[in-house]
Amino acid sequence: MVSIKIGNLEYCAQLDATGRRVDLNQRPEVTKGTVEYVAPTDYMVRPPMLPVYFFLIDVSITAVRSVMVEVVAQTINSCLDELPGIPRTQIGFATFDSTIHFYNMKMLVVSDLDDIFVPLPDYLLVNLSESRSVVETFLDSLPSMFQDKVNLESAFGPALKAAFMIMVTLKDNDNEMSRRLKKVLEKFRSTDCAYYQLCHLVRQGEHPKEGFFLLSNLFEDQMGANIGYADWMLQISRQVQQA
Amino acid sequence: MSEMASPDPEGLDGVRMTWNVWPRTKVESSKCVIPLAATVALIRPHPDIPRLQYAPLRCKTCSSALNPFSRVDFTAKIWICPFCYQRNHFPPHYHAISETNFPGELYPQYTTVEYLLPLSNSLNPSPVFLFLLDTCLIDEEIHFLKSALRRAIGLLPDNALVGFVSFGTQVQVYELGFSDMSKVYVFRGSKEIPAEQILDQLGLSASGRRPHKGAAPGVAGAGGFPNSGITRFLLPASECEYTLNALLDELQTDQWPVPPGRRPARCTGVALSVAAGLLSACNPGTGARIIALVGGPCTEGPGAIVSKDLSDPVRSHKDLDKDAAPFFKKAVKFYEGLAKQLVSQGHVLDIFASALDQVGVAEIKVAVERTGGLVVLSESFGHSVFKDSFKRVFEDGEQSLGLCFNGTLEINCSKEIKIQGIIGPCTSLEKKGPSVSDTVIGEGNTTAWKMCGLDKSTCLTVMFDLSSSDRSNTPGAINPQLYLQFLTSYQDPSGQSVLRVTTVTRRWVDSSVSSEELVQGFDQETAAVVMARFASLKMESEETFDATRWLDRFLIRLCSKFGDYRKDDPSSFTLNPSFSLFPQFMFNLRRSQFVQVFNNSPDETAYFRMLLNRENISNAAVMIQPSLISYSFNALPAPALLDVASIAADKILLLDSYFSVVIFHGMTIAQWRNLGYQNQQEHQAFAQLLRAPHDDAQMIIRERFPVPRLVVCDQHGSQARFLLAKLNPSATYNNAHEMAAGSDVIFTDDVSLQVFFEHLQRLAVQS
Repeated sequence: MVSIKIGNLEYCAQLDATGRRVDLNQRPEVTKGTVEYVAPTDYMVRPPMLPVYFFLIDVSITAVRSVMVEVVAQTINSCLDELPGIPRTQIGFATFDSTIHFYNMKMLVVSDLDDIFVPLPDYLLVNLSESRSVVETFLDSLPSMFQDKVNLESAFGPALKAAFMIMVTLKDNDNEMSRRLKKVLEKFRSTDCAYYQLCHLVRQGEHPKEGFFLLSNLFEDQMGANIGYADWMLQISRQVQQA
Repeated sequence: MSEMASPDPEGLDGVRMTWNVWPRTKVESSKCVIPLAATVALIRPHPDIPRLQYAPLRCKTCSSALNPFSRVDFTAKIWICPFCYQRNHFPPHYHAISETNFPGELYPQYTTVEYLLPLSNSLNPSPVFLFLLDTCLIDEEIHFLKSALRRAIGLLPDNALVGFVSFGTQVQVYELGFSDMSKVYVFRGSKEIPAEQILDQLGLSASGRRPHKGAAPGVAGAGGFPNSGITRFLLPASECEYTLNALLDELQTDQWPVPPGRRPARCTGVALSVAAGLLSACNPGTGARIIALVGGPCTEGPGAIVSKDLSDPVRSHKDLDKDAAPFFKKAVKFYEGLAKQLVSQGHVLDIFASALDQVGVAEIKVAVERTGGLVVLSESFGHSVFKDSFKRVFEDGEQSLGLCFNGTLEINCSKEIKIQGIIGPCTSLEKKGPSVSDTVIGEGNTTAWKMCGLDKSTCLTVMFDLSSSDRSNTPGAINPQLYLQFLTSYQDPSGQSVLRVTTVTRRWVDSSVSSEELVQGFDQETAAVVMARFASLKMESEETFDATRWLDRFLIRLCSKFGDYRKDDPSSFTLNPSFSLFPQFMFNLRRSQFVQVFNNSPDETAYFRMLLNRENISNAAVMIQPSLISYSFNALPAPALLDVASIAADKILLLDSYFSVVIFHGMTIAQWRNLGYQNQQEHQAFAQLLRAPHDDAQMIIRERFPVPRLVVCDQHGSQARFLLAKLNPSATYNNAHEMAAGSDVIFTDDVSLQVFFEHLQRLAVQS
């Protein structure tokens, strides 16, 4: 028997008669050029972000007449079981023609397209598992809801922006970084709730040196890796002041 | 009470005047001290008012209506206008007129008549009720509000159109006609939105209603057009009761989070704008009311009255006096703009404010008053003041308030008379004419006014002046009578258009010759109310105005002019019975909440004054000088002096100060009650004594709007302050040794009525 000196005893293995490791077939990392590792919880500082699916559905006259709305509703309905991340998956819907319609037990119409805003602070995204029946009922009734409407216009841009606003609201993560960020954001929001729309963060990780986006302008900080925490907060503040 | 004691002081016409005999010249009228004024109960119901099924005859020169004081030449078929002396021919359909065949409006006793006008085809007779609900409330208050609304919805007439808007941080307009699910149009609360934009965003603008070229004929809805009209938002009450109840079921408190130490973001101003914008899509002439139910101050967007920071207190009178209320002027300006819009649309704003602190009634007052709306102030939506008042708005029959819409008032008067303006719930229509005075009091610069809303107790105060022309201009043509005509057109609750014409006459008198007739013509109750309204108006419009001194000066001048006395001898002073009650009215007025605003919030003061300015004389007089009735074993219930001396250990007092009704038990009565004597068979008389003031209080409460607050208290109890504040402090700690056993003492430095009289007499007689 010949042993490979790797240092970690787990990697010791018996050799077979031809001189190959007996566990070769269970060790892709020693036979493949590329492998992926599934990180266990030891490597996570928090659970993965909730999967969020937000469907924007065009309900203008063209979409309705072509039965696209009906097909879309049926298709989404049939795919609900396939969405990854269940039971933590979040789902939301908005429809748009000349106005944008949000849904939360009722249809909330926002007509002000020049200055789009979200009509509720919460509950425009729901947990798919918990609200499955509500979602299915909504999708069933969606085609008939717009059957008789004649609306030629389609406000896709504002709808997209609104969807973005809903999806990127900062979740309540209980760690030092999140607490500090939320404190600053809440201060901005309390000064003027218009800031609610202006300042959203999507972090690509926990460390402040990683890149981030200021979504009000879809602004990507090219120098994220070099910026310090204090400068980063100052930049947010300047961004808000300019708005 | 006062109306039972004497014949109906307002009679058929509903007109009461400070002076019922007028001096002929401007100089003489200024010597009368109290302004020439008339209060008019615009549409007060009276069984003897005839309803005529045709249009009135109008003078071709001055537009006055034919009335009992017109001189008629039956032979020549001519009538002479008493206002401008124009000779008018009767039209052909009056050909049968003769000395034995009068049209209704010429009968001498019919000084007030109502003409029923034909309904315009385009006019929609259905009234609109647009409910505007605050959702920045605690759950309990929302629950109370829902109960009140369900009851109201059940009471609406079937043809009434109902709309629903809720607001908190944002405004939600409900599309009641949408059947698939609740559909709500949302407006940002922080942003001022012009009316055209509101219509655009609701899909109600004129361009949005054009048929689309792309739509094939007949493919769209049954009518060929999409259902994009206001009928999506305003549904007949008979059709939407189920929808509204379902909507109320799912209504929640505002969802937006409120950080600690902060007030909720409440966008009352934008909500009112959106409601007014929605109603602007109604056909012109539609009667509509916005019924706003507000549970706290506006903190968000235009019309905000306070910041969101709880460490910032809501403005007080002291802040207003020092100009230290940063939001006040800006908010008032916003609500003035809203008032202008609502008046141009002919729509009414009612405010039901229920909060432990203020909601901004002081700022919104301008919009409510200009549109002739109702106002109710209470502490909670569960309080009887709100619940019972709200119910009365929708009640029918005898209890009905008689809410009417689209009122306009025109006034014609004799040539020598000028109109300075009106104090009350109306708006000037800026209609110039020879009768308009150069000086303005209240809503002036006009002979025509708009009352978007009015009801059977609405009462306006018209301030008059005299022309400065010399009476010797036309000595031969002097008319011994003066004439006033009030033409009120309105839409009654059933949708009928009505024109009421009231023509009154009084005599001119040459007061330089003799003031005896003048004295007999003085109506001191009306004068007291007019002075109260005038003082309130000046307190609001003139920043440095000292109401107490002003009232005192008027009173001294009046007593000096009309009292009987030897100069410099106070003990010789007496007043004619026509004036004898007036000083006491002034004493109570200067102590009332209309003048002493310390200890009241600006919202409360605004509330009190709005009601003072809109109620009839009897009710307004009770606000100024409450009535007090005493109950005891020894005697029948009797009026008592409004004095601390009326308090006795063995008596019960019933105080009616209009906004509150207080039942006050003397010490001994309270002890017996607490020992339960009223439950013993042998003390039935005591049980009846206890019940009597409650029965009388309920009678008062039942017929009053807003419903007064009932306070039941005992001598030396904390709630007794509601009574003590209104009593003449004839016994204070300064002279406590003189008081009788069982009586009471008031801890105050205010002067008593007696001291007030002594000073008044001394100042009136001094040269």
